[in-house]
Amino acid sequence: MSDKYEAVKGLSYRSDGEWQVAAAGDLIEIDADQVKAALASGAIKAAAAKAPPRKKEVAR
Amino acid sequence: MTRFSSADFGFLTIGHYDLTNISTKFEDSISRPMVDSTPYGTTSATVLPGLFKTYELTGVEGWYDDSEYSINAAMVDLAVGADSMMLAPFGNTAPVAGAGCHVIANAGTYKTAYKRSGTVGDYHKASFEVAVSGIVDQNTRLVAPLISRGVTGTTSADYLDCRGSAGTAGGRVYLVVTDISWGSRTSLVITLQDCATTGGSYVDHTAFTSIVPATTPTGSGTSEMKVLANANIARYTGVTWTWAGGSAGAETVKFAVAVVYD
Repeated sequence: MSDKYEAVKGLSYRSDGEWQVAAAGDLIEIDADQVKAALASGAIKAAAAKAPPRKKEVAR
Repeated sequence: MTRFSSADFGFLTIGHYDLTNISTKFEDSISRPMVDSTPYGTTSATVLPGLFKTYELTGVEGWYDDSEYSINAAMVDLAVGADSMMLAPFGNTAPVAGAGCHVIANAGTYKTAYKRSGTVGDYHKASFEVAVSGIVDQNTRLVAPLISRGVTGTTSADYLDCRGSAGTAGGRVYLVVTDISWGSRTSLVITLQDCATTGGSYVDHTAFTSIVPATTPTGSGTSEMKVLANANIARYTGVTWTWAGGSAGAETVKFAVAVVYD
């Protein structure tokens, strides 16, 4: 399961199980098991309004 | 104990020159010469512990090769100025379960002597000597092995667990690019990233200077040492290489990155 976030810093992350690289400002889909820690570290943030609406359920 | 042999030799680079495949022998040494402290009026010599530790790489021998980016090109000018050196005698592989290959690295390598020899009935040979100034990191670990890579990517799947714990007192990270082919790309940034958990996302920690074709044209390379941008670095590290400009498809870069914590 993945959702859309904005990379705040340069980041390497998994999306659909594959490692990807993002620059700050990129809109990314990140696998759910990495979301919590990435949000906590400030590496990503919820995508801005221009992105498609996010689902409300909490990533697990 | 593990025994290593010449078959395990990883690589030797000075500046951006990869001397691995034309070298046949290396000798290095570490010494801390004692200081003579014998005063007048005594009959027995006394010494004090040495103040400086020195490192030398003196006995590198290999094949004479006159191609553009060869040992000959690396040494014949004996150019003034320091180069980075990376010596990996114990392998050149990606970290396995966090364990990275051992690298000896420094950023103060000066080329001091170069010798060529030709003997009837033998292949032409070459040898050189370098002097080393400043810190020599004896326990640097390879984050990214010296291999060729293509489009933008990351080594995070094969993370390095440098000391089995986070670093808190700073350190250094070394880069060598031995070959690059730009295709239509116009810049490349190689960055050390860190992460607190093995399965987490990795975030930029220390970026090397952006590489551009004007100073590093296709077929050449570069090298650089960076002090860790933040004294604190998370336990697990990886490296990303990010191309920009032009279009993807034809770009390749052969590079290695190694890190050490203080």
